[in-house]
Amino acid sequence: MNGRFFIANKDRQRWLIIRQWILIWVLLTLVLAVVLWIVHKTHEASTLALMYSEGQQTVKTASQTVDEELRLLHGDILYLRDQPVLRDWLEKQSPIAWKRLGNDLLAFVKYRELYDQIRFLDEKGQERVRINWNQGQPVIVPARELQDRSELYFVEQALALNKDDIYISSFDLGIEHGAIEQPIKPVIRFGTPVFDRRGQKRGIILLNYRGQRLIDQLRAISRQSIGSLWLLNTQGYWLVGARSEDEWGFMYPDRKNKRFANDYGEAWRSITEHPERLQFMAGGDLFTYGAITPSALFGKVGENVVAGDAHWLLVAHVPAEVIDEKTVVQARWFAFSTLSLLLGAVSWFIAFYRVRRRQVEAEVVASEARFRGLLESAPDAIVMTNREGNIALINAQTEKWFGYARNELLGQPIEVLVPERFREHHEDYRQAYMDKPLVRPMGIGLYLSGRRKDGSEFPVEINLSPSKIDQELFVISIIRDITERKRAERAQLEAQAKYRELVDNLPVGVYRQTPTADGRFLEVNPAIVDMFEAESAEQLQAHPVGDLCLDQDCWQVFVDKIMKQGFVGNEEIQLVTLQGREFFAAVSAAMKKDSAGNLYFDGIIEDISRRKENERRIQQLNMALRDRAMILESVNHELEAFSYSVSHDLRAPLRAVDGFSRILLDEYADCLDETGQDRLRRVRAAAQKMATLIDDLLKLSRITRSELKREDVNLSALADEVIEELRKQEPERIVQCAIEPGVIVWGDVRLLRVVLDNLIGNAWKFTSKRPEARIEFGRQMQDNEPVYFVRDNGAGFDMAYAEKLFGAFQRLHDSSEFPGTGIGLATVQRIIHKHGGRIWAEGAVEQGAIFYFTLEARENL
Amino acid sequence: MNNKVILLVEDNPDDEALTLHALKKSNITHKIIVAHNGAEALDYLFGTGSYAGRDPYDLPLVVLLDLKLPKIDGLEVLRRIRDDERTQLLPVVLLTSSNEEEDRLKGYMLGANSYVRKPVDFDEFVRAAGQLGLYWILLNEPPPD
Repeated sequence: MNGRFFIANKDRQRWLIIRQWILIWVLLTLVLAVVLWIVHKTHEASTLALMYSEGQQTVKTASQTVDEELRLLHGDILYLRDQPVLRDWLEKQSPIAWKRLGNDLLAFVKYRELYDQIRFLDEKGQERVRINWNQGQPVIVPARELQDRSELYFVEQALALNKDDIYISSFDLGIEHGAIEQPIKPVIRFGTPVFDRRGQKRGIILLNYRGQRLIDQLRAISRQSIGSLWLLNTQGYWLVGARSEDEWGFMYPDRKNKRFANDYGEAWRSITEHPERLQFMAGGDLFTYGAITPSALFGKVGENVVAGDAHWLLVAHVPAEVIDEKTVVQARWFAFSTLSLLLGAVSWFIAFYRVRRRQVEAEVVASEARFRGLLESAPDAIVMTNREGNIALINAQTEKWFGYARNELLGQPIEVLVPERFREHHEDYRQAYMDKPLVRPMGIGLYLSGRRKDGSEFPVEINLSPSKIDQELFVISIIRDITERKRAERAQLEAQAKYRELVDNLPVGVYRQTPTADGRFLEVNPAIVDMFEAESAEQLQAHPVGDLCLDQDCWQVFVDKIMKQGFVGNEEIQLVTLQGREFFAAVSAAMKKDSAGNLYFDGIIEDISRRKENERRIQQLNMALRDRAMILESVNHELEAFSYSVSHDLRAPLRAVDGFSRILLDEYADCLDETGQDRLRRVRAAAQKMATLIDDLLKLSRITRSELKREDVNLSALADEVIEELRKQEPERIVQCAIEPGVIVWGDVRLLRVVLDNLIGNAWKFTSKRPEARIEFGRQMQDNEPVYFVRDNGAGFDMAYAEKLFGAFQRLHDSSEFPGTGIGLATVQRIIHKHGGRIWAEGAVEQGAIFYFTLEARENL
Repeated sequence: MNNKVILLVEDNPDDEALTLHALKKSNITHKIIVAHNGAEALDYLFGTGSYAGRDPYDLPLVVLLDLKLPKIDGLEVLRRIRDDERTQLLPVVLLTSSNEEEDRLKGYMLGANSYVRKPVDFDEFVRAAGQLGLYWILLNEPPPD
């Protein structure tokens, strides 16, 4: 498994966990949500029901409170109307009666503590009696301070009432001198007309109820309710509201918009359009309301109630926040979130362990597969036996090697795999092993064999190891077929023997020694024993190696060199045999290390005494050769000087001989007879011939000395030129010439011209007596080598003298017949030799001649 | 024109006689001064030694110079002639037995006007002398004095 795969696997595993985690979490969260939702709904329903009834209760309580209060007022006004003191005063109109009435009313105001004012106004609207509450210190207002109130709307309305009618004003604020009294005085005015015994309407009695009392009571109820209790008038202005600045909007020009309808439109619509719905939800808020109709309060027969306000509305309001709070919505959300997170963590653990478990299971399966793969692909045969020695498990290699099918072996005693002759002993050994089971090879030092199904045997090596599986002891045998190894061992032994023989037969000494100057030979071959004239290898090995050297220091140097370089080759060392004979040896040695780390030297020694002797001789010869070369060089110099002199000095006398002979012939011819003249002519001819000889000799010597300047040379063209010149010299001759074109060679053009001059010149000369002379030049291949030739059909030569052809001054023909110096072919041969070629000739007398030559090819240079 | 001389530098009396004979046979009638070695030739040309007092500006028509001379050899004589501004344009013909390439090359490199090998055959010698005389003496216009 490589690293990348491993990482990928890890990523995959993480991904699996995350997927599982999210899945489980989502599922659990959904369940949680459902459960919480049900709990919440149940709780919410009961809470709402509770709030509904509470709202109803609040409104009911408030309604009763208002009702009771108004009934109280109703009772009071009727009581005051029918009081005898009032009737008395109306009858008598006396100051005493007025005084009594005043005191009566004063006491009433004082102890009733309900009214701010009690007044009696006559039928013209003039105040006649007035008691002011005066902050708990009620006073009878003096008569002079009483005012005409006929223009006040409530006075007017009250005066218009019939007998037994009752007037209930709007619930508003007290006004003094045209302005709202401060601090505000919420007030409800009760009025009723007063008739005397004659049934004459005499005026009205008017009570100013201190509304603050009712408001305080309603506020107390509001405080005890969950939400708040409000009191609205018919137009929807707050009389009792959440904030004091919202209240009494109709009294203040700047508070005209402080209406319930403006803040709670939906609720207001419900109240106005569906007055029968006493409790409803609007905008998430809970509203419970009840209407109080003042005019309908007192249902006595004959009583007609005229009210300033059509209704007063009692509204219990529970805001949404309070409902949520009461229904613990936030707490639920919090609980949901917390629990969800908790579930997240739990889901993670579940997912993690689920994936882990699945992976572990997969690993177990994979591991089993691996184990099986390992077992089946093992190169060894593996056999597991139980305590009784029966085969419990085998692998494929076992089937292959032993030739059994798996089911043929399972359950069989292990001895079926053992050759018959060992079976009995094997059982004993097996029992012994069971008593003391250890990991160990079987039959140490013994030659073990396995038995195939067909009865054949093969060498094996077996390792045993006990294994406890589920409390039962098994023995695992690992069997290896060692046929190949045995064969290799045999081959190695044979190879070793072969090498041993080779070393023993080598004519050079082969040795191994300990790595010190005074070390001993560890191994030697017979050649080395002979070399040191020892009687036996043992005798030689007993001798310190250093003692075998003529010069101990030299040996030490040699050993140091091997230690330093690891190898020394062909070191020449003077050795001494055990018999004391000295000899030269070439020693090579290499430093080696055995498996234990010990150093040793392997080397060869060669007796080179004879070689040394030869070298000495060669050196002597070389010295002699060098001397000879120097002599030769000086001779060459002398020869050069000589040639120069010949060229110059030998010619001068010849010129004198010829010149003066000529002068004699010219100027003294008459003094000589014909014979004398002939003799002189012979003198001249001889001198001229000698000059030619000298010239030819010089040419030969020049060729010997000159350096070759090689280039591509067209021999065919050169031959053409030579023929051309010969034709010019002897235009009368008819010679048929065949020059093979395009023969190119690598050589010195000047010298090759000399060659062709001579060879073709000779052919020309020696065919001079042929009426149909023929000269050929060409090239042919002989033994894969180009050979050039010049052939003629001239005088030819006797092959017996072929050897002499190329010698200087050697001539095979009379000069009277064919003139010549005898130096031409010697020159040609020298040129050809200088070109690394050979020259030879074939011919027969009067049969013509062929001259062959070769030139060293360019590729060989 | 006829008062101009030819200077022959030749140490071998045989060659001297033969050369004079050949020139005469070629109908060359100019006076021929013979110097027998290089030193004598230079003395003549520069008016020194035994020729002290001779006007060195009175140059010969041509110098026939043998190469192999005792004391100062022919090539040295030639170099000295070419080194001196008075004689650097003087026509010099090398007349010699040597046919060595090296000699010929050196001669031309030192400013020889011709190189003539003395043939052994006297007839050829006469022919060569005749041609020399015809060219250098009759045809060639010498450099202005």
